[in-house]
Amino acid sequence: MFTSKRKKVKKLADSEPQKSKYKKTMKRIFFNKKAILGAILLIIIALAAIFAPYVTVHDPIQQNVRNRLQPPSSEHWLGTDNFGRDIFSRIVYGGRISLRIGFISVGIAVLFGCSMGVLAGFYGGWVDNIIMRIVDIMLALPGFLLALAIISALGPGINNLMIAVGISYIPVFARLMRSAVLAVIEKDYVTAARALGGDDRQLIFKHIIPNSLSPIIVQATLAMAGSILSAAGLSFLGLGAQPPTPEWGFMIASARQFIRLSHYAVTFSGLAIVITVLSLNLVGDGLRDALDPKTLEHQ
Amino acid sequence: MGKYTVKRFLALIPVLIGVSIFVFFLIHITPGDPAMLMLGEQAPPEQLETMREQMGLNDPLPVQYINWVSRAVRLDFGRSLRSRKPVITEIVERLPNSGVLAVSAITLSVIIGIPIGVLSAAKPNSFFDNLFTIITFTAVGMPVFWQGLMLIIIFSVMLGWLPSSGMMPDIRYFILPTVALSTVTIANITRITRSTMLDVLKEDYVRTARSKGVNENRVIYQHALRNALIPVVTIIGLQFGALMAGAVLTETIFAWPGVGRMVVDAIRTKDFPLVQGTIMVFAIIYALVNLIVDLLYGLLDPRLQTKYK
Repeated sequence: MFTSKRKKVKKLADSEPQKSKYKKTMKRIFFNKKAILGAILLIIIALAAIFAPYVTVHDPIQQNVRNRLQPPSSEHWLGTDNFGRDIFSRIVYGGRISLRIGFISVGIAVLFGCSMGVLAGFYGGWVDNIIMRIVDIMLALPGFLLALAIISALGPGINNLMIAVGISYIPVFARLMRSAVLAVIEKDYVTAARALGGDDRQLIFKHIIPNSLSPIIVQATLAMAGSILSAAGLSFLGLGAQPPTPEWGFMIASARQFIRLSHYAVTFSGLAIVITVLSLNLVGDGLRDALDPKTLEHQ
Repeated sequence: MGKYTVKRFLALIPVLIGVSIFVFFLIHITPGDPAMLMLGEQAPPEQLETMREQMGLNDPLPVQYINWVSRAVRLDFGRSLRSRKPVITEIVERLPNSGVLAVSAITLSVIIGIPIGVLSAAKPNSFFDNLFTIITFTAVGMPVFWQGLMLIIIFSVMLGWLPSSGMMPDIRYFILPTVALSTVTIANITRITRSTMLDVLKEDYVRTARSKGVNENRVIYQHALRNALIPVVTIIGLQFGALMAGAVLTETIFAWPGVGRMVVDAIRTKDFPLVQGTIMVFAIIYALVNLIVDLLYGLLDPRLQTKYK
């Protein structure tokens, strides 16, 4: 009986402040106009992409040359491209590809970057030295040019595009995670966990990673915007998606030679990129304001 | 300061060695036989064998790397497969064209970005400030290549005011590429100027100046701006990297005869020596620009000078 009471007290002491902190954070996110606006836009884009067959009437791939380069009409909301394909359908289906590229390339960057950062920050010494020198070398080229160099070797294609863009974002996460680990590792609860006999893996997964999560989430959102931009640029250069895939950057590239006849494919595909990138940037910035450790500490 | 300069300069060496290893291995990551990539798939086997021998592909990799890098330090990256001219000649021929574009874009960004940033910070949350916050936020999300094309659609197709592509000794040919290339940089410089100005305006010396009754304009332009400019200089170095990336796309859009368009063409035609050489040169230029910016930072900020004496 005595022990159970103690357990209860301990539980209360543990969960109470955490829950309210979590609630407070959620409240801050919810009251951040930028984050909300961005999230709403993003949800619309994601839903349109997921339910593309239900949102669109026309096939995004099937050509109808007689119907080419039409201006917007009630039949084709955003007009048709140089093969007579419905631009609206192609943009909606293109959202699937762009969002997938964003998710997977950032996934690659987070996975490898954060692992490198944790190892460097946690073990220090020569491990840290080697990893950070590799990161320095990756930072010797601007991200887009690094991705360009990698894809020039791997060859064009969406998979290679995601790998190249993903690698170009690794340094960002490696540096961020390393500094997050260095900030956490000094804290008393880590020392306490270590004193209680926690092994390295437990320390990393139970204490260090959960406590470094919020800057990673913010950065991942912003990196997704950046990687969608980079991927569109590389596809525009013909190094990413191949025809007839409806990818926004590639759509702009293939409609480019017809701008004197009809600019709608270029204009609307570009606007799709702008709105997607903008909404991700809004969410990222809003989350940063809401999760900023500097403002959190004052609570 | 001298010691710091030497130290920073020496720190470049391991990074550039790392980049050279990366660039060297690019051709070996490529699926397939490099000799076949160079000669085409129909090449007869004897010719492939001679090519392999010529390229040193039969040597062990470390030997190949040492050979490649010992020529690369003398800026000899081999010959372009297409034009048969030395790679370095191809790069040097086009570098001034890219340089002109980059310098005019940076100049335009500083001329426009800093004043807007200062004016926004002088009256935070005013109509003017909010308007420019929205504009810069949108500008950062615009793909460079799309923006270039929209400029062409508006100013050369619809209005017919400016030429859509090419490079001629006529200022009209420079306007659209410069604007397209500088938009993101303008937006970033505006944002940084605004936020550093806001920080500086909270400093004690600004409050002191105000309480002495110094004119508000004088406080902003003489006391605060000078101190706010120091971090802005560092950002210009970082922006240079974004500018190099933007140049690849901008030069492709506007058929600008620069290094950026050349590297895209080289990738498309699998002209590997040209790709390797250009990427190496990009890395060297980027490293040097950042070094210069770092040193400039030290010169501008007397506090740092005493630190590194």
